Amino acid sequence: MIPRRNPKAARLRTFRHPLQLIAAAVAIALAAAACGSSSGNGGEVKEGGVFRMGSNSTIDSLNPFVAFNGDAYTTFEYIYPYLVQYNPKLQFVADFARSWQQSNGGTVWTFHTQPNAKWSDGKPLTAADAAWTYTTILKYQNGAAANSAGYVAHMKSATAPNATTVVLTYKRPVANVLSQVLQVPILPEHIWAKYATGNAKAMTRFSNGAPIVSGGPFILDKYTPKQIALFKRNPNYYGPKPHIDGFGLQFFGTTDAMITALKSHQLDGVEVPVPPTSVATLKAAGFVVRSTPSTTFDDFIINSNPKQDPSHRELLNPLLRQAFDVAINREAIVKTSLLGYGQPGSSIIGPATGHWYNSAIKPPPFDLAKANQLLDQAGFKMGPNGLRVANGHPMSYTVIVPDSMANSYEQRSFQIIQGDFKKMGVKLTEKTLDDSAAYDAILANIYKNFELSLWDWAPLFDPDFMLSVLTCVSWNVWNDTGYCSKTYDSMYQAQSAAIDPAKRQQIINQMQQLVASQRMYLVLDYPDSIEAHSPTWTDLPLIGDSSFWSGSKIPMESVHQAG
Amino acid sequence: MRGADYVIKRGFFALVTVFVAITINFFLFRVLPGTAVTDLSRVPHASPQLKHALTVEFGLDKPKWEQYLIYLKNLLHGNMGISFAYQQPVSHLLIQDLKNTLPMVTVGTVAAIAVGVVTGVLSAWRRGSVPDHVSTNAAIFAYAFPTQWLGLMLLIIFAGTLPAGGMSNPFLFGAEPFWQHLADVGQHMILPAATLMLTAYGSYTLVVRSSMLETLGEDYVLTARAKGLPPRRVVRRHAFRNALLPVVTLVALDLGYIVGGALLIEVIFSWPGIGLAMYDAIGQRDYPMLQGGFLILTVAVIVLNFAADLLYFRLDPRIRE
Repeated sequence: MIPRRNPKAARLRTFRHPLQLIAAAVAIALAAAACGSSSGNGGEVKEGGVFRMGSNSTIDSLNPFVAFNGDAYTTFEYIYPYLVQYNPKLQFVADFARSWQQSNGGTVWTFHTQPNAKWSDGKPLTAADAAWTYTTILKYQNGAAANSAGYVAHMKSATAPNATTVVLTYKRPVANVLSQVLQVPILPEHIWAKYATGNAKAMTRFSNGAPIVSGGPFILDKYTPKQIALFKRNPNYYGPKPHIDGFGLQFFGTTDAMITALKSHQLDGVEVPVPPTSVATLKAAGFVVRSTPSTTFDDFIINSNPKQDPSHRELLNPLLRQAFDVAINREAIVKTSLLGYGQPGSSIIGPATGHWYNSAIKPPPFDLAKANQLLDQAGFKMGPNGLRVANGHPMSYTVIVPDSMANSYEQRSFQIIQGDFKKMGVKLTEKTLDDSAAYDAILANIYKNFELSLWDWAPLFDPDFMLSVLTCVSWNVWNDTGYCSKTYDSMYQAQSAAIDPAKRQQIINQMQQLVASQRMYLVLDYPDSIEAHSPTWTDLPLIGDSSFWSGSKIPMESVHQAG
Repeated sequence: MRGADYVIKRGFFALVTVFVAITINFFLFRVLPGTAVTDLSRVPHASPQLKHALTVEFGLDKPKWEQYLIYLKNLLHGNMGISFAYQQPVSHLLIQDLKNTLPMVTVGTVAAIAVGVVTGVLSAWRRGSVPDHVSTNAAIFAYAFPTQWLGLMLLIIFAGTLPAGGMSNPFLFGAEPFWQHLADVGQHMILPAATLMLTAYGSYTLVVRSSMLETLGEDYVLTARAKGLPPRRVVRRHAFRNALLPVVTLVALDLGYIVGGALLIEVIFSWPGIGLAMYDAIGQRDYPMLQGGFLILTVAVIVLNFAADLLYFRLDPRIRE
């Protein structure tokens, strides 16, 4: 679930709307309550040990201005301070910022940071480091820091009036400031400043190798590319002391090898996603397997560019789109492809995002008779060879499928759809390309060539990013449908500036309704997120759908050996 | 043909081949659909400006011929470029990958050669016997195994007995004593090297057997037998030595491919070698990494073929005539 599904995006999620004011005491209490509530045995905590984790991805770079993979961002979460983080209830709670408030109609955000904090090398860790990090991203957002530019959208300046105060000033109100700052690691200015000069090319070339000067709960003690990242406890950390001595992340080339290593106790836990096919054997072997709804969804994409090639322009016909929608057997997909670990899909903002999900949008019931009737109504008559004819040509379409999907459970989903479409006289032919090529094939010739595609999204908890994908300015970048609408764009802008949570919710509900009615995406399913760990470890809370991702430090702070 | 002429001629052909391979490597990857920019610009709220900035940063805004000339110029200065994905010098990254690959693939290949040669000689010597049938069929069977299937089977069979992935026990703080580390690496190497050996030895068995059968039918072998030489001596000194010529070519080729790693094996056993690096680089369209990796592979194959040519010149008097 990557290419258009950036693994970085996949792991950064938000749930609640920023509150007007969250006091330090409330935030800290929530974090403490969250940790406490996850306790598995309630007794005395057994200290020490190294929690060994497996990942089927890898860290591509330890430089936040270069890194792309989710594991790199999780590493940053544990070695660097962030202003805020999530707790297990997906509320924003204190990290380096103990409290925060907004003023001037949501254009000024003031964060009060931890006093007397230190980096692992003993140098002071202050609000100035945070201000420097944001200022540097702002300064180089069109160059060396371009991969972080989205996190400072609409930001005007970042300042530190004193050692414990950071002030972020925006050009206009921004609805999701907290979910944005949750994604920005605060870097030690005394290490990085020398690279951020001129065009700052040196900043992207800086390898930032282990041991890294750290401000988070752990120090990256050892890093061997494509093999291991080993973290040890940071004695200078400003937050709660972790129970473990450290943790390690071993990288595997295949999920099979990773699951085998877990089953043979060479690992204590594995990152999501555990394949549904492994769940039964892991449970039988006594492992703790947790399956939770995720924000990920699989989708069937219909070219929505009004200027697409005339040879398939019938794909714009609302009756055809409705017919395709009801011809998808979502129940069968969940049962066969996901082995029951998921639920039928409806909206592009899934139920795992909580209140953002528009529950009024229901998955359309599978009804081939109705699909046939709709196509008849559209005038696409059945031809002699069992294929319907639209605008003088047989209804035969190529479906672009990225190989990350073609080699996964989604292959079975495609076969189910293909079989049902055949019954209504529509032929689907799979065209598998690697992810990069698949994306370029969709964008080719300004969305004129492609017909259909099957892909997935792993969006953030905050819906802003997922909704941005369908805007006109996302053409040739994230937009993979060719959809462009002034109405939709203005709704997107309105929600992104809506400081009032109720108002934002209302706009987002309308946007989901619009997407569901336009049917550029036919949402197939919401797969569960499955992760597993050894019963010899406990107090490993899930933050959303995973205990190991870049939205929170809490899981590795609270995990400890059982008994 | 004089020795110097032969060496110069072969050396010239080798250089031309390297140049052609460099050129093909450059254009081949650019023919593939998709670019590194597509891959790396998928960050939240990425803009067309970011795509443009990356295109300029990677030099992909320039015409292909200009990129090619820059690549050649850099190569002449020993510069393989900067990886798009890692933003680190390609030579630095590939050397590390090579260091990981060479021990495992060398052990697997040398074991395959040794097992293949021994079983090939024994099969030919005992032609038509039960051991010959068993050995030949086993070789064909092993040769036909899909590498990834065999690797996964070994992984499952030896789960809990041997490590499932990586090069060493990674969860250790501080340095391991040298001998302990060596033993650890050796233990991790067993499954990938065994997979490589099992999938590669069959071709040696078949080639050596065939070559041995040919030489065993030669007049000089008949003469040696007629002179009453012991069978082992006939095989070792008269038949085997002469049967080695085609094996030299096969070994030279295989040794050349050692630096290319064993892609599927490295992926299955999470062995962080050059094969895995190339696999990742293809997905990322990391042209500098791909060009660097394939350059090393090409040069290694060509140099070892050149070495095989020279060895032939030394071993086979007919070439000198």
